[in-house]
Amino acid sequence: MKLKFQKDAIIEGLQKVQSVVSPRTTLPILSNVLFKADQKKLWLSATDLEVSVRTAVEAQVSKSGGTTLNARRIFSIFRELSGSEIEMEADDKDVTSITCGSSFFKCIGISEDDFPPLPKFDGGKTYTIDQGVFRQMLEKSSYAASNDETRYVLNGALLSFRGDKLTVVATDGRRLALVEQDVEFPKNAEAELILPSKTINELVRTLGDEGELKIQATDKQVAFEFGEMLVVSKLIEGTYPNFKQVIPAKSEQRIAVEREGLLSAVRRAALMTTDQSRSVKLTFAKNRLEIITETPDVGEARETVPVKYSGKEISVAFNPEFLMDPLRVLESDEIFMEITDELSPGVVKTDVPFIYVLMPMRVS
Amino acid sequence: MAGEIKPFMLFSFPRAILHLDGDAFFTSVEQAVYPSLRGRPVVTGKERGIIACASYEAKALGIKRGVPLWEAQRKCRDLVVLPSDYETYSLFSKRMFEIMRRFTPTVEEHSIDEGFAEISGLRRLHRTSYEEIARRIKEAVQRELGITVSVGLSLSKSLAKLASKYRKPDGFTVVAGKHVHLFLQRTPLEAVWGFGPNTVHLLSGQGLGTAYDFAVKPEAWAERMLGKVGREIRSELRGEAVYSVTTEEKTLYASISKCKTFTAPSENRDFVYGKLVRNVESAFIKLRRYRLRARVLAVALRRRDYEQTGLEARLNRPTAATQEVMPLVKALFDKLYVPGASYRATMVVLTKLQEDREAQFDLFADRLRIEALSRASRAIDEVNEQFGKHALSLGSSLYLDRNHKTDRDGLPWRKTDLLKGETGRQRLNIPRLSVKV
Repeated sequence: MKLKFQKDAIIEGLQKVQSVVSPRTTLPILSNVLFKADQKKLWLSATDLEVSVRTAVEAQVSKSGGTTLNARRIFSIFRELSGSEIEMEADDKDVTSITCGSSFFKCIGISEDDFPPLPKFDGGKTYTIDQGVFRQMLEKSSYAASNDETRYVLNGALLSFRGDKLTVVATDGRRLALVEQDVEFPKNAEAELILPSKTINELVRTLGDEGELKIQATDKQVAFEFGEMLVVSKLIEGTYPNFKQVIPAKSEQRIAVEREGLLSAVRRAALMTTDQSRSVKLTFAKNRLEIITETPDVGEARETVPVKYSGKEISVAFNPEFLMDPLRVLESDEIFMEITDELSPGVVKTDVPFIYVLMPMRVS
Repeated sequence: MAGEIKPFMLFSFPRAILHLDGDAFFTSVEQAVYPSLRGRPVVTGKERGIIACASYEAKALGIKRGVPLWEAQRKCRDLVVLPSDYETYSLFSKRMFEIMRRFTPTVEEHSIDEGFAEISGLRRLHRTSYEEIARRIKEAVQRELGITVSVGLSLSKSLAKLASKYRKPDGFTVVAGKHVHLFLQRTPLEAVWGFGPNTVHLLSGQGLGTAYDFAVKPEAWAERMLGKVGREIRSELRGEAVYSVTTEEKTLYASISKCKTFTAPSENRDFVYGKLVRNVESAFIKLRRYRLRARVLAVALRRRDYEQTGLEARLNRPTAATQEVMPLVKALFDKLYVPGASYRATMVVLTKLQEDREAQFDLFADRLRIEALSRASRAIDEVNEQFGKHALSLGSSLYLDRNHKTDRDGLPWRKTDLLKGETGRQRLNIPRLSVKV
């Protein structure tokens, strides 16, 4: 393999794939990135056997071929090089020479034959959606996923393709985020997939603002194709809990609140919480929302946010982190809070189909 | 060759920390309570069949802690075997620390029978030397409680602990700063607080023989061999106190565990399970008393041959309700229990504890059931408050009477000879002497 490429291009390419490489792995080959050059392009691949990522970089290839190199080391080398054009040549013993300006490196790699091949896809259901739309759906929901390994079904987000709609749901059992979008697909492609959090993070990092995204899914795995990128991931097997039953059909009160104002007020009030005392109390009174934190031995915080409200006074306590999560990722200026009483779930909604259900806290 | 042996420092007492250690504490207390037992070989631990504590008279006959009773009785036919009376021991313990606190407020209750006291800077107050203050503390404890204790006085907790062990029983050892190097040369590695058999092997493999050999090694060497602890122990041994005497009583628990050995090992599944459930109940009572909730629960069964198996489970949500975890306890027990095996103890450990001040409701959980279970736990606590611990308990405790009685079942005298108004659970909070007047 012998080729030339631009430094900026290879850095961008490696950034897209190397986050999949896990820092500690029992198989040395999994610490490596596969470099594979054909006539026109250099293909870069990385995998942790759960998620595999492949992308392409423009290159002038004088001899095609492939090798694998330690991801972290090769990325650092490319980043530190001072020239803009890099020459790379790998011999048949997988020793790679890198020349750039006055620098020369020799890196010992592992044969491309040892690199796990990308999973093959036969058949499966296919869907097409706009990259930017899909990324936003993931961003607006995935933070609610659980990282508790004992609840592995919740360690990701549910993609539900049903009735001309894609619904993305994530929950950790204490709050739940849901976004919906109209998507066209044939009736027989209705399916539910649970996408692992690691794959979601990879997609959120690499999906663009526009352009088409092709999703292809079988029972056990899913592939995402966009631009030069290909992300293949295993799916979480199991039954996702019935999320519809925990979305309140209706709430007593619906109150419009200015999003930024609420977010910064909760953030300030949360300054008075501790690990042992993690709740803030929201009190809706006539035309104002009071956010109060009272922590023994620490002190208290009191914030007032103006709202249009004339119903009865309601108080409810939430974990401020859980309340702030959706407020950070939503874009609309105004959100709606739906509250019933101190024991019932609170709901955050926006004009677009977004629902966030948050269980309150009992404070004694 | 080793260079010239120099003292670590020229000061006597830049800090003065003393360690006070009860001599054969349990049996000493028994001998104090029953003066007729003085001078006789006495052991406690009848209820377990294993010696918990042996008096110095018994030790002289080669009877040590941890030895099975039958073996000890073969060695000495006149051996006095007593059931453990922890109530009286803890009353004596409390008094012992109270006496220490008369001299200095900085007293650390290290265990039931040993404690540290910092007496730095108290010479002016007591108008005498550190050595004399330490001697007064020792004498006050011995005079007022009728037991003997060993006292070590030095510059750090580690040195004080070594000093109190140096001469025992009734020992009094003072190691001043300028003498530390001489003292350590006479101290074997295994005597050092924090050095277990593995560490000793590691260090003797490096050619070390005494605590002195370790203390003169460079700091970096100690850290490389044993990590941060190694560096700390080295400083402590050189008379630079790292560990301070902490006076706080333990209120924040990292874990709660309950382990009970049965009077005779049992092969009865229901009985063993009943014992485990009783431990779970006790652990949860303690959990609620400290207003905590547990996130992780571990269960272990110990067989007659001390072979022990255990399993740990993480709960979906932290809880303080006994009945909420019972299905899990049952499942863990079923996985561990081997039919036909003979068991001697069950235990439960609750970890990942957090305060029960607030609770996050769960989307998918059955909240009514959880509320009902925690109300049930509160009700059980209230009933037991009035009628005694475990008066109201889970059904499996009905099997607890199934184990056959043995001669080990004797209760301490304190629990059989009740004063008017005392009950099996509540007794007067003062030690009673068994003397006829």
